[in-house]
Amino acid sequence: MKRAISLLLTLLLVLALVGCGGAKTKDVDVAALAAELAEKVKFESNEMRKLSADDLTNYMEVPEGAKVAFYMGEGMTMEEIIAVQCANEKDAAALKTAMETLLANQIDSARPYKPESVPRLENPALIQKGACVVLCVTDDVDTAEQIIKGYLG
Amino acid sequence: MNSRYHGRRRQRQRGVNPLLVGLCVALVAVILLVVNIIAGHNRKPQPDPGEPSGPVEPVDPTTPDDPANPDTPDNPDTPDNPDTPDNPDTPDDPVEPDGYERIEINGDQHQYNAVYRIGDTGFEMYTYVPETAQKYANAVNTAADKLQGTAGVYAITVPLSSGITMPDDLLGTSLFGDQKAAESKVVSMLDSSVKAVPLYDALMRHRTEYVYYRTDHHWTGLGAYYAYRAFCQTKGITPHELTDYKTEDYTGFLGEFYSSTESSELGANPDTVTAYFPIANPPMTVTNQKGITETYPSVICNESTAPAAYKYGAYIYGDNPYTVITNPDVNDESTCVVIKESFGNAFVPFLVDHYHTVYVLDYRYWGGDLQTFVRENGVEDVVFINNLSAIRNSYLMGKLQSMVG
Repeated sequence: MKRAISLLLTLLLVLALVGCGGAKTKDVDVAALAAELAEKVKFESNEMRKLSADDLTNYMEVPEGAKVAFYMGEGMTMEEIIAVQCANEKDAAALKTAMETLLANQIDSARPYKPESVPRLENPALIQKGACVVLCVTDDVDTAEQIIKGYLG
Repeated sequence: MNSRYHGRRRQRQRGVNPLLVGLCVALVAVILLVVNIIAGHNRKPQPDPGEPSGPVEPVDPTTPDDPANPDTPDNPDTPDNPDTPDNPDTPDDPVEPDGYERIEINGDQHQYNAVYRIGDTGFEMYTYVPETAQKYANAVNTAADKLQGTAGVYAITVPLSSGITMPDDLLGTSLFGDQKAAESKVVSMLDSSVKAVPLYDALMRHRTEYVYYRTDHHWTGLGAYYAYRAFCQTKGITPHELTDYKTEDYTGFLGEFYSSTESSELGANPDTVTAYFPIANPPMTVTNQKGITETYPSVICNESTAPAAYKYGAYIYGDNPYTVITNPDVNDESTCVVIKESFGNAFVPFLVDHYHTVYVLDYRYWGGDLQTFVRENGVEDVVFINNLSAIRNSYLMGKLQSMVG
């Protein structure tokens, strides 16, 4: 009886230790995700230009160890795809904030010159799950979100 | 009997009581469970991947202080004066106009988001953003470095009307920033190889003239002319006199301040766009935002019948990614490229009489590489002309950096 109680309590301890750990989210293939967004989402731009991770650093700080896929539309359409797999969730959260700041700056510059771009900037597909964060600025938000959900789970 | 009793006591004393061990383990398990539960409550909830973050509330980059109480501490993210730290004990002092003509407040005042109206005149609110100003300086410095030995690089930073024609009681306060200090800061970040053309003094000396529109954030052709004179002084060439130019007036201009506020006070007193024709007045070829190339008979577009909001388009037909103006009267093959947003539109016509070829690239729309362009086209002068509002916008400065490489 005493042994049974001890065994039960040990099992309880083991379960408690397992419960303290966080679930690990899988890495997302951001290059494939961004390519699919560029191909399947309807954009005003005739072409979504594929840019490098270095190019993204012109607009925001990119955390170390992050994998980046970055596309921009033409002129002042403000259309863009930014998909980043960060090393950890904290970096992804910081990057999401940086994306929100970029959107605010884009709204500021679009309003006097390209006001028709403002609605898509105010309602983008911006999703973070775990260490992955994805921004897609487009009028075709539903398609974008569907594709992103397919990759992020 | 006594021996059995002693035997049982001796058995109890041998080894550890398993029930005691189990109780300790249970206690540890309970503690761990409680800690896990508390940590779970404190952890920020993860977004449901099925639900997007929703519409983004734009962050107003100006985030001004309360205008009714100028002694309230500055928002540390939006300091007035880049040289002085925010101090809640010191009020926001207006900047003294330093011997320039004074401007008094004339009319009622009203704040509409990022536009501030005084009587029939709108002003853009402004704050200096050091990180973005540094980006601008980095872009210009990179261009100068890469083009060393190939082309000279000029940098013209244009103050806003809120830094020049603002009434003195509000000039330099937190809503509008100390744009004299902002310009100085930007210029101080430029390398010595960059030929800076500061405009604050040049414009302040003419601040009571019609150098900025009332209903729009742009400067007038006259304001751009004073910038042209400052550029000529830096370059060491002789400017044309204002009276040398043929002009046309396009009345009834109601610009961006009017369209964003729909203020009846602004609407009641429209602006006039005065266009200054280059003396040579050559044709101009433009590739527009749709990629269509057209040639126009002049750098000035006749906007006399255009809708009220479009009249600033008189200058080089508005914002196009790529523009070329060739002046056959200048036959020394001299070439410049102007890197600009829309303030540059009113400035370009004045350059036409000084270069054989003037290229104009609007970096917001043009997707090429500047260094390659300069080398392929034999450009000798690169002129960056950018207003302070653009210089605080990280998206626009990102675009500028992308162009420079």
